[in-house]
This record gives sequence, structure tokens and C-alpha cells, in this order.
Amino acid sequence: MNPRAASRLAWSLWGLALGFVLISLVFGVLALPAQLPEGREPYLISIVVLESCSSSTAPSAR
Amino acid sequence: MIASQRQGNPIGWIFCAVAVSLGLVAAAYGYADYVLYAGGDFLPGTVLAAWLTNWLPIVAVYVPTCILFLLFPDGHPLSTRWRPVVWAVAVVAFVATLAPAFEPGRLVSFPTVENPLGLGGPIGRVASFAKDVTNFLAIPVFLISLASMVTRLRHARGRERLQLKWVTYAAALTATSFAASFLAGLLAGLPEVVADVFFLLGVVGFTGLPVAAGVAILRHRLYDIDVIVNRTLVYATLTAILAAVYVGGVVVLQVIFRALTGQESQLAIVVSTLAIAALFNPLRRRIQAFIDRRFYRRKYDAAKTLEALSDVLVAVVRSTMQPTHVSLWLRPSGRSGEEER
Repeated sequence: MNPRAASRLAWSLWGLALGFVLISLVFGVLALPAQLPEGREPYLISIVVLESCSSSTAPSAR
Repeated sequence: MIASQRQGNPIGWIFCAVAVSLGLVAAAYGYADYVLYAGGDFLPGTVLAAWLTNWLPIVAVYVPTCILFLLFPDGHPLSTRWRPVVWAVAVVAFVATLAPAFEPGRLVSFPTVENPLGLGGPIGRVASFAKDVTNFLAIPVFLISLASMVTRLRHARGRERLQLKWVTYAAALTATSFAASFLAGLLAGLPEVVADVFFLLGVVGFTGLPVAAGVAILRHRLYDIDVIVNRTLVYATLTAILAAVYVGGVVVLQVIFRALTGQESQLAIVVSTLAIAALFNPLRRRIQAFIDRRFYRRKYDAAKTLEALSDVLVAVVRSTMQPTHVSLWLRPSGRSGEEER
């Protein structure tokens, strides 16, 4: 593969991944007050966000 | 960065695939949680998002981890004998991904949702059976992949050995932190924050994996991380022992205070804190000596021998020539470092 095209593809994938992470954070925060099924916790990729958000916005969610 | 600068090495592309698929898994979970359980039911595509969470984590985590163990750092298997293992991982991963995607019934993480692509009849039963088989095979295949990396590390020399050390360090940090978090969660009476701290450390280790791989592949003059590994071992052990001393001290002293005065006292916390402050340096020195003796025997012996030799030399020069100042300079061969006594 052409090095420039490869580089562009790699950075595009990185941007796409970052976009998905941002979407997950938005919906993860929105879903914090949700009553999830037994054994499930609000799904967020970072425990820091999970801890700070769940303790400050929805203590009953955990 | 690896993918853009080393296009021929699949490791960079594997990490790109991991990033995209992990991001997609996280987004799908968040989206489905919000729509199904937090009143966002006006949004479309919930079933698709929930379905993705049923099989995509296997692609995002299990498959790349096994492939990384098999192909790191040059993107090729250890030898031609390991090629069948790579194919075995590919087959297990392919079946393990397809089986939960088409298995009939409710989704594991979203039990209120039926698998939209669940196949009925004999094909569905085959999918369920394939899922059970791959669940059984997943751990042996993972361990064989890990064995490949360990074998590579044992035989590697020079630059490849340093590259492997970097990734092994991140992997070991991740594994031990998650294991410690799991164990801390099981221990009754331990504050929840302890398990969370270990979990956070595991997350840091996991995110450090691509960073370590990137440094290992892209840096030309690779730094030997033996010092970092050594310090991690020392301070992790020291932290664990001091935490145990602190918690044990508080509990025991509170029991004693209750027996003597009938009530608990803040003095227990003060005494325990002072005890761990006093213990810090002596304990650190002992642990450092133990780790050096146990894991860095060759360097430890060499350092001790040099120390003894330099003591003898300095003593001889002092007694025979009686100079006002003596210093011994040891010039390590092939390096510009120096030691002075």
C-alpha cells in the first residue's frame, strides 16, 4: 500500500475509534440513571467516569 | 503511529482494529442501555446495537490479544512450526464470533432482546453447539498463544528481547491489576475503592499495551526497562505490605481499645499511620535487597563483587600510600557510564 494512503487510513481509523468512544461516553452518561437488569452496571469504558458520574449524578444506579 | 510508519507490520493494523471495535462495542452498549432502559425509546437501531454487543467483544479483545502474543514484535510467527497455531486461533476466533451472532434466543447482555439474526432449526442448534465448543477451546488457545510469546522472550536476544520486555511489562501490569481487583472485590470488609483502584490500574495497563508496543517497534535506541520492572516489583510489594500493616494495626488496636476502655479510639489510626511511616524506608531497603537477590541475581552478584573488590583496593592504597583522598573509577566496557567511590 502507498505509505501516504496507509498513513491516512491509519489516522482515519483512529479518528473513527475516537468518535465511537465519544458516542459511548454521551450515551453512557445518559444511561446512568437507567434501571439495568440484575448484575449489569452502567457501561462506560472508564472507571473514573463511572465512579465520578455515578456518585455525583445517580447514586442509586450502582 | 505503528500502522502509519510500519505499514508492513500487521501489529499496527491489529491495534487499529482493536480501537475501532472496542469503540464500537462501547458505543453500542451505551446506546442500547440508554434506549432500552433510560427512556430513549424514540431512537432507532436498538436491536442492532444490542446484537453487536453479543459478539463484537470477542473480535475486540480476545482475537487481537491472541494474535498479538503470536506475532509481536515483527508481525511473523515465532517459526514455521507455530503457523498452525495462528490458523487455529483464526478458526476458533471465526467460529467464536459467528456462533453468538447467529445463536437463537435472548441476548446475553440484553435479556429482553431476542437475537434478530438467531437461526432456528438444526443450524441454530449447530450455532449453540459451536459456541459451547469455542468457549471450551478459548482458554487453551489463549494459553498456547501466551506460550508462544514466553518462548520468544526466552530465546530473544538484543533488540527483540527489549521490545518483548516492554509489552510483557504492560501485559503483566494489566493481568496482575485485574486479578488484584477481582480478589479485592471478593474480600469482605475491604473498602470498594481498593478494588476500583486496582481496576483503574488495570485499565491504565491495558491502554498502555499499544503505547508499549508502539515504543518497542518505533524507537531505535530502546531503553532497557529492567529498572522500571524492578521498581514496580519493589513498590507494589511495599504498598501491599504497608496497607496490610495499616489495616491490621487499626483493627487490632481498636480491639485492644474496646477491651480496655469500652470504646474505639482515633489513637489507633494515629499509631498505625506513624508505624507505616517509620517502616517505610527500612522495609523498602529490605524488599529492594530481596528483589535484587531473587530476580536480578547476576547483576546483584556482580555489584556485590565489585563493591568488595573496590573496598579492598581502596584499603590497600590508603594503608600503603596514605593519600589525602582516594577514589576508584570503574569504567564499564562498551558504555560511557562510570562509578566512583
